Amino acid sequence: MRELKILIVLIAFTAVTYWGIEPYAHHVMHPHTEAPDYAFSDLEEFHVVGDAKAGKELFAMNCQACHSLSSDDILPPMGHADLVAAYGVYPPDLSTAGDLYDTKFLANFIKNPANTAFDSIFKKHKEEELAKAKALAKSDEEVAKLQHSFEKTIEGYLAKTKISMPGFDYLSDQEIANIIAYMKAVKKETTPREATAQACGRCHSVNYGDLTENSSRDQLVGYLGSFPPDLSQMIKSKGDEYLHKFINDPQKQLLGTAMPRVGLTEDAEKKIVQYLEEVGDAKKDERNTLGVYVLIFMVIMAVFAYFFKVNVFKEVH
Amino acid sequence: MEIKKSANVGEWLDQRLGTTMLAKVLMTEYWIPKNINFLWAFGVVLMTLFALLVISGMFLLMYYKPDTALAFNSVNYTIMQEVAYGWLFRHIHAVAASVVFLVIYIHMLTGIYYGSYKSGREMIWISGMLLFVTFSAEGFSGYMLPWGQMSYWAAQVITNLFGAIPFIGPDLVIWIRGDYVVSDATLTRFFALHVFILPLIIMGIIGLHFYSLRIPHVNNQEGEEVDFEAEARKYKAGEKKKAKVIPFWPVFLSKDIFVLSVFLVFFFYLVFFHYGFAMDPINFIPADSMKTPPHIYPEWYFLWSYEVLRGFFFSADLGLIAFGIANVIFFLMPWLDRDPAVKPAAKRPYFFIWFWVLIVDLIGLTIWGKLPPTGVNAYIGFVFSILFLALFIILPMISKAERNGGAK
Repeated sequence: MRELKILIVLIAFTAVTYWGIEPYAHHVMHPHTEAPDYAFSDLEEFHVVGDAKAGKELFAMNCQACHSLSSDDILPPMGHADLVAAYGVYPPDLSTAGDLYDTKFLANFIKNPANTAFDSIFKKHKEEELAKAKALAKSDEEVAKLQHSFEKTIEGYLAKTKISMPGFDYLSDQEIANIIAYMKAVKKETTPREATAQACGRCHSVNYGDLTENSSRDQLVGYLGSFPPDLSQMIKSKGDEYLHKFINDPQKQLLGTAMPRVGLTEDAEKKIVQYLEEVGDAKKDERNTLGVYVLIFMVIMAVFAYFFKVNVFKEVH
Repeated sequence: MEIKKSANVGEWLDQRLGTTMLAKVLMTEYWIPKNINFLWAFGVVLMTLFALLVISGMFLLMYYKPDTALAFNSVNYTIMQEVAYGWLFRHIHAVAASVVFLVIYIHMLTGIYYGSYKSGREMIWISGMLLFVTFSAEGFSGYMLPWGQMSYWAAQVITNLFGAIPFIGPDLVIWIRGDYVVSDATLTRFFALHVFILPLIIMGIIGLHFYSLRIPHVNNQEGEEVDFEAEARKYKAGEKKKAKVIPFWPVFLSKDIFVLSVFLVFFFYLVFFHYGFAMDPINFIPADSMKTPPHIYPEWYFLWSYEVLRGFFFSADLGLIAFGIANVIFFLMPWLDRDPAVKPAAKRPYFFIWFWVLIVDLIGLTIWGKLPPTGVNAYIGFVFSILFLALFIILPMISKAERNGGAK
């Protein structure tokens, strides 16, 4: 019985240490954040039903000057290099837009890209920060200072040009809905790899999956201010929970980051995280299968070792 | 000596190498006390973990590239994804490197609890402590090799510590790094240390550690002085139940193999299903000298001494001095404990309390060593650090008091 007591003490102290340096420490270092918001609740609702046929015409008039739509045989207006030279970044082909992006997000994006991808969500999180800081402030003077620096930050942020695409706020809600209806009508379904290439590949590479970013390093640094990281090991360094929260709303995890909110639907986002796992943790299935066999072997060995020990000790006890 | 014609290979070898004698000396007539518990099996567990580290390490070495431009991908792509079962060797290597310290700490604290470091057993203790230090260097140098963010920044922070040594500090840091900053030259020299120099030294000290056990013999759980020769004679005469000793093989090892097997169930569970603690997520981001991670912390087994360093948050110099003391103080256990009687802590009222306070303090230091040192955490860390130093200041006093009182 003495040995059992020792074992219990050993396990208890080991468990406390483990709890302290793993779950507890991570909880302290990475405070809990809310779940992803796939309804994009900070954005405006559009209460109209789009008409795809009318949308095709609107697309030709408003979008086609920059964007291709290969699923409906609309080709790019000029070569890759010319496009990049003209806009600073390559305007994406929109064949998969109807599949990957949320309708409400797309509508808001067409109307005001910078606000949808950056400003609205940046402001929301800065307001939350401000409210917290104000609650802790000790004097009215301090509150006023906080308010002032908040306004300056927002002003400075709004003044930055963050997206090459202009806002189409002169289109009516109905017209915007028509364009989206058209993109949905001709949309191309995507595999997890294609979804990642389309939604992330304009800036990020996934080297272990042979996906390269479709602009040069210099262009990306010029456009974004820094070079976006390769995504090959993101599933390991960030984990799927963080990736979902981050992709859904980068500003929530990293306020001020150059990465825009891209407005993926929940399904599309799952596909992308699934792809990052296939590429970044390719041996997961092999590991889980082999692990079970090895554990079964070790348990059987422990049982045999126990009987061997009992047999040997019969003579000496 | 006349060589006769041998009937079999065993005899042939015996005539040339004395294998029968060797087996007796090392195995069947190497006597271990009978009155021990499963904590005495942890030496064999450590030996097994070291063997697993060497074997998995050799396979990793076949594909690893010690070059800042290639290291990260050679580990995370070539080894983890392309080489057949390369991931298995990496997982075994990483988990064993982490768990080996858990077992070292258990082994060390067992020695402290049962007083197995004094009255003739000082060299066992010192060689064991040397192994702890060389394993620490091995762990630290190995952690740099995947060249991820934690590899780089931990190396940056730890090598920087040497800069505080008076007079030679700044030059010493450059000498260690081979450059003004942690760079390719640092990686290649740590690689050389990790895969050849340190393992060689460790193997030598393991030999010394085993050898140091032969004269004073293994301690037992009551601290009883056993007459090994008399008890061995009893055992050989067939009084196996009465004898206070058992032979290393097959009796002692039969239990060790059982303990080891149970341990390996736990170990392989970690290898396949719960390895995150041994492979920090941050280290899956390639090293970047321009981006400092928000939290830099060493591997868990260095956290307690790291916290002694950080605990003196108001003075870097005091912290370094305390850190220096923490790293050598355990070597002095045989002399700080002034009571020469070998007894388990349970039979020493003051030392018993001292021991459990030490355990709580080490765990406290370990946990607060990982938490960000802000707000109240800084003060809690300071209290644990002071307590750690205080424990070693009072140890000579309480053990002396116990010696004087223990004569009754």
